[in-house]
Amino acid sequence: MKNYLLIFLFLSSIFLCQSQVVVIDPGHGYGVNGENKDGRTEAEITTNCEVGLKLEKLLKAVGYTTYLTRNHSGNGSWVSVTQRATMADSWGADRLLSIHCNGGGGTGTETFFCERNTANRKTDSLFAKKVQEKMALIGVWKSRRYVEDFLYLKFHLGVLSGVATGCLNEIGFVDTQSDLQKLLDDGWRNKFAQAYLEAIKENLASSADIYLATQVSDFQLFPNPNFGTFSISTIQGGKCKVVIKSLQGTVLKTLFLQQSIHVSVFLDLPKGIYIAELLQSDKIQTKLMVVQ
Amino acid sequence: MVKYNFSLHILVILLIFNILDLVAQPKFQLVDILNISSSTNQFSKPIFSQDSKKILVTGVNKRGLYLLDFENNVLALTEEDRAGVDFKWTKNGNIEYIVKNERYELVKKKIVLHKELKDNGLDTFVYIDSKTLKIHFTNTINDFEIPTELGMFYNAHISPNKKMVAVNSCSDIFIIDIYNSAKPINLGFGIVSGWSPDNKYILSFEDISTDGRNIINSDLYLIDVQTKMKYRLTDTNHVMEMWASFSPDGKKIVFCDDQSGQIFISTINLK
Repeated sequence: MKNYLLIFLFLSSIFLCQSQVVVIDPGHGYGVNGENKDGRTEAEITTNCEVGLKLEKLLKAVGYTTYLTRNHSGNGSWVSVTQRATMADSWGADRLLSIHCNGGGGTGTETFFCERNTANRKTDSLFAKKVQEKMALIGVWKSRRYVEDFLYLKFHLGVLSGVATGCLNEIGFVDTQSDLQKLLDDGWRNKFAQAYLEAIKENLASSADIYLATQVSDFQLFPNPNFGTFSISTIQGGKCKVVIKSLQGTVLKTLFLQQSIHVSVFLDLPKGIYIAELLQSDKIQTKLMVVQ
Repeated sequence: MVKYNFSLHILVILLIFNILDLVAQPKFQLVDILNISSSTNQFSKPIFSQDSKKILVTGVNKRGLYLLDFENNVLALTEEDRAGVDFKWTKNGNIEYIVKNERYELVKKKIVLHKELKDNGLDTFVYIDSKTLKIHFTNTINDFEIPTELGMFYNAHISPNKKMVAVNSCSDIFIIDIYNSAKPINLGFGIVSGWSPDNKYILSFEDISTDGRNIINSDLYLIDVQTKMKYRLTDTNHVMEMWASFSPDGKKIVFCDDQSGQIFISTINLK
C-alpha cells in the first residue's frame, strides 16, 4: 500500500511539474522602428533578454511549460507593461519572473513583489524572498532588499498586476562598473539564470509540497477515497475554512465551519483527485482527496 | 484664357477626397460618464449583463468574480483565483470562465466543471491553450485552432457573430477570420478588450509608461476592423481607462480606472 502511495505521489509530482507554467518577462526592448520607449541602456535591454533565454532553456529542460514575453532584443521586441501582465494571465502563468537591471548608482541585487489586494496571501513575498536569496548566493551579489513595491517605490509595478505569483528582480546596476562587468559576462549570466531556476524550482516545489503534503496534520478527512460525501474533523475545533480545489488549483467549494470539531460534507464532484485545504489561525494544511 | 495648371488640379482633387473622407468618418464621443462603484472596492474588466442592469467584474488582480448593480451593491460570486482572467456571460444568463483549459460555469453560485471543452448547450467560445498557445474556437460542430506559427497569441475575444477573433500578439492587435483564416489582419498597437454588438468595431486601450515599470496613463480607443481607422475615446491624465466593453445595445460602454479600481459607465455618441 505504501509503495502505491509513493508511486502515486511520484506521478502526481510529474503531472504538477508539467502543468505548471512559468512566464519569464525580460524587461523593456526596442520599438518597431528601433525606438527606446522606456529610455533604458543597451546593456540592460540585452542582459534582461539573454538571461531570460538562458533561464527558458533551463526551465524547459526540467520540464516546466515556459514562455517569454519577448525573445529577442531587436526592433519590435518592446511590449507595454500591461501587455506583459496580460500575457502571463492569458497563458495561465503559475509564476511570473520579470527580469530587469537597476540604475541610479549603487551595487547589488533587489527584488520587488506586489501585494495590491493580496496582502494576506504572502505567496508573492515568499517567491521574491527566494529569488533574492538565490541571486545573492549564486549570483554573488550584495543583497540590497526584497520589498513590497508600493512601500519602496510608491507605485505598483504594472507587470505584477496579474493573477500569477510573481516578482521583479533587478539583477545589478548598469551604471556601476563592477556590476556592469558581471551583467555583460556570459558566465555570470549563466549563474543568474541558474539562480532563477533554483528559486523557481524551490518555490514551486514548496507549493507542490503543500499539494502533496504527507506530514501529520491537525485535521482528518474520511473516508478517502469517497463518493463525494466525506467528514472533516479537526483536533482543536474552533472556526476554520475548508477549501476544495482541483489539482490545477481551481477553487471548487469553500466551507466555513463554526466551532464544531466534526462535520459531514456532501459535494457533487466528478470523479477525480482534489485538494482539500484547511485554513485555521493562519495555518494552512492540505490533503489530497480521491472521489470515486 | 486661364492656363491649365496640372498641379492645382491634383491639389483640388486631393482636397475634395480629403473632405469627403472626413465627412465619411464617424467621430465618437463619450458623454454622461458615471462612476458606479463605491470607493472601498477595486475592480477590473467590467462586462454588462444582458439586461444592462448589472455589471460583472473581477478584482484588480483578476481574482474572483463580482456582480455590481447601480446602487453600490456588490455580490461576490466566487473567490476563485483565476476566474477573472477569461470570463463572460453565457446565452442562458449564467457566467462561465476558463482556467487553464478547463471550462467552468457558475449556476446560482454553484461551480460546474464542464469536462468537455466543446459546447454543452453553452455558447461558442474561444480560448488559448496554455500548453500550446494555440487559439481554439469551439462550438457544437467544430473545434478550429490557429497554429502558433502565426504568433504568440494572448487575450483573445470572439466577435458577437462568432466569425472573428480579436487577439493580441506581441504589442499589436490582430483580427482573425475563423472561417477564412489566411492571415491575421494587424490593427496596430493596443490591448483589445471587447467587440461592438454589430461586429464592426473593437474597443482597445493603450497603457503608457516612461520607464517600463510604472504605468502613468492609459486611454481608450475604438477601432474599425474593416478600415483599421482608430478613434481616441478618452484623453485624460487623471484616470487610467482600461478594459472597456459595450452594452448589449451598443449605446453604452463600461470601463475601469486601473489606478483606483473604480468602474465607469458612459454613453457613446456619434459626434
